[in-house]
Amino acid sequence: MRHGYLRTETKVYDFKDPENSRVIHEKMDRKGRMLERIEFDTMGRQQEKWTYSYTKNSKTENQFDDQNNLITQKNWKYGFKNKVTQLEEIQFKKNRTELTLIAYNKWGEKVSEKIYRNQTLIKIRTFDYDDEGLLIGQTTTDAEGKVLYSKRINYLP
Amino acid sequence: MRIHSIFFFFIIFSKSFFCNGQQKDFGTWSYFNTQVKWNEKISFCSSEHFLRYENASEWWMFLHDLSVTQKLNNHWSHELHVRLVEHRKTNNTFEDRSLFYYCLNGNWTKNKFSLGVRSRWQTMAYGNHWDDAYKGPFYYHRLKIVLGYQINYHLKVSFSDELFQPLNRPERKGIDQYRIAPMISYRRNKHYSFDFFYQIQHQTARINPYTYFILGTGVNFTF
Repeated sequence: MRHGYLRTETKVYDFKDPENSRVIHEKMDRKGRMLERIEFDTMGRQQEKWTYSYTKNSKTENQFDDQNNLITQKNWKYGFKNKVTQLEEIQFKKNRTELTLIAYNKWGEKVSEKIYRNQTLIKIRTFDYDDEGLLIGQTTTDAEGKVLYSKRINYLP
Repeated sequence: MRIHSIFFFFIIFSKSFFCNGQQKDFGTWSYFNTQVKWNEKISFCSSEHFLRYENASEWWMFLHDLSVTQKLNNHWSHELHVRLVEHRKTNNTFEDRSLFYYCLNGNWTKNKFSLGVRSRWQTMAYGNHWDDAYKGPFYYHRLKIVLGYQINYHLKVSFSDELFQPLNRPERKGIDQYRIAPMISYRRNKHYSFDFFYQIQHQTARINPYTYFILGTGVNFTF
């Protein structure tokens, strides 16, 4: 939050797709964290709104539609050194909850993400690192352990 | 040639700075640190140090150290140590000294620069308490400031300054020793790193003060 300004107004002009033009109002707290973001169309009608709240170890984002109905809520939980340990996304219209549990090893490297949908484990991502702490691999499996996706990274001179 | 020039600069700088009749000696200091990380916050460390003096011709001290470290957050950590010092005396025997000390460490980084501050509170006793030669305990506070620059993942240079303040030695007022040391650290990977340093230990506020010029090497293992 530079210069002490706590609110901004951004006007976006999309000349290729004029319907996409919009005005964005944002409000921050004194620590520079977002508190509210509202998008208006060019006629000044609210399209979407996001509100944010914070505690010492968590952050919550609420997303509202143009009728001010709560459509999505995201909750982050933070652990040691402010790293994300849990992300929960609730989609009220679809009646769906997705929960991601993140684990770290003793070196502070993220080693796994377990993704649950409506409390059922659907996916596991694991991450591998070399002795210098560089990410060298990522593997995604389903709940039964079947590999769905795999990535290997080589660092070239 | 450039490394030799830097080395001789420090020798000449040190000698010119402390040319006041103080006794001087050159020595070496080698250490092996083995650290076992229990988790992200807690680690245990065992450390062996070997020091030589009298122009590095004689053994001076052996230090055996055990510690536990806890990281509190991104910037702060603290440590608890127990140390046994075997100090060689002029009659070729070794005197045992036992230390217990607590350190509170602060560390801040900005871009590649780092600032470290360590406040160390220690108690030291000479010999066993049932011996006639037993002395102490002596309480000290030591404040160390380290400025560092991370050149890349493998190399870091730093400069440290440490002040020794006796807390229960009325015959030594104020600071009775200070140490300054430039250091180069080479990190092979997260398991191994190596330190090379040149330290000037300057004693003050005592009857027979010494200035030691110490060339040091250290090996650090982390698991």
